[in-house]
Amino acid sequence: MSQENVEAFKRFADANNRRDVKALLEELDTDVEWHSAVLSSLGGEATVHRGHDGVREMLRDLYEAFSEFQVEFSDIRDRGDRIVAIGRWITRGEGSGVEVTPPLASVVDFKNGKAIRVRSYLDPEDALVDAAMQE
Amino acid sequence: MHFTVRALLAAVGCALVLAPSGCSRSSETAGHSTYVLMQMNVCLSGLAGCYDRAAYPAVMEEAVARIRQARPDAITLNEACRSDIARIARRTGYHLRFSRVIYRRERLRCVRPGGRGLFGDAVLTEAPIERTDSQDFEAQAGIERRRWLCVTTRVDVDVCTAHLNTRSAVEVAGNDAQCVELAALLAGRAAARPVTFGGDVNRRDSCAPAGLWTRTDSSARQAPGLQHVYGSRALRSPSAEVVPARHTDHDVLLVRAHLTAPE
Repeated sequence: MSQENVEAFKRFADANNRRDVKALLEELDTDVEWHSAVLSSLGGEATVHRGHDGVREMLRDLYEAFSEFQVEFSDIRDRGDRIVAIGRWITRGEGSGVEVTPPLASVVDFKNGKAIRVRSYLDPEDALVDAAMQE
Repeated sequence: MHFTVRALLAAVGCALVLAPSGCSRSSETAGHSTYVLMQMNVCLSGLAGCYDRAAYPAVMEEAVARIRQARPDAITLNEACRSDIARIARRTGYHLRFSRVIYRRERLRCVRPGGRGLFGDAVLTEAPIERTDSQDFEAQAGIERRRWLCVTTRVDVDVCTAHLNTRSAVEVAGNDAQCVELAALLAGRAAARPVTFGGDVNRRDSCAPAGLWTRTDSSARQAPGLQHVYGSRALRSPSAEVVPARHTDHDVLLVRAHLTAPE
């Protein structure tokens, strides 16, 4: 099952890069909780987006706010029902068109092949620490 | 010169309208006037958790109402959107300078609703703006590039703002370093002319350099102590008032000081 989770995570990331919300939601449990690093770094109360409707709304806002929202994970660690993925955002520098790549990490918990909890981090070290603490 | 003209206008205006609140802005007595700075973090991005409380456009109406009520000489705004702030400036009759922030290495567009322009910081001033400076801090942490924005106004007061990194594990080093840079920036400007700063510095310790006073929103019900106002010696006897805000996650910090005439 864990290799299936890795494949599901890759489909999930690919769907995000295509901005294909329908395909992305297919990889999520209907009771999914999504803790977004991007949104929490903007300040205010930490927001958890719940269920397909909550995730759909969050993605709509993020895709509208950013001209690019692609991710690339170079290191996907299989931890059974948990995936720890470390990678980068793919963005273009303002005006220059130069591609730049801030770090990004995700910890995703799976249940019956669907992601039930998604947490993203700006610092990969935080993801590794959090994932280890919750094991 | 400014003092004479402004004193006359203030006196005539007050005599005509008999509205004490409207006469508080830069009201003048011999040798000094009252200078009022309002600091607001308006949480307008549409993305942050605090935006649920904004009940857009209620947050805009609240900001306009606060400005009209207090008639400050300057307003510093963080977590703002360019078009929203332009609308506030038009409705209240202030001059505007805006500085966008870079987020995840690109400009962030405000959403929910869209079409509100880019995300960033702003300064509104009652006096015309003669010069604007804006720059990224050298130190950066996290995915938002933090900047400062300063304007020089025709009444010869510099007004600056910044929204520093948070004290989260990822950003705390950025917050500390930006605080040091901000102090150096303000010290340099204060050497040339009166300067005041308003901003969300995301810390309780002051970033004011030696010689500048500090007032904070430490009595606020929301996020107390994180919004600061600083002022140089020409702005004397500062007093702070925290005005509750319903539609954002920071209350309004209002500071009044006596602006002394240049010698």
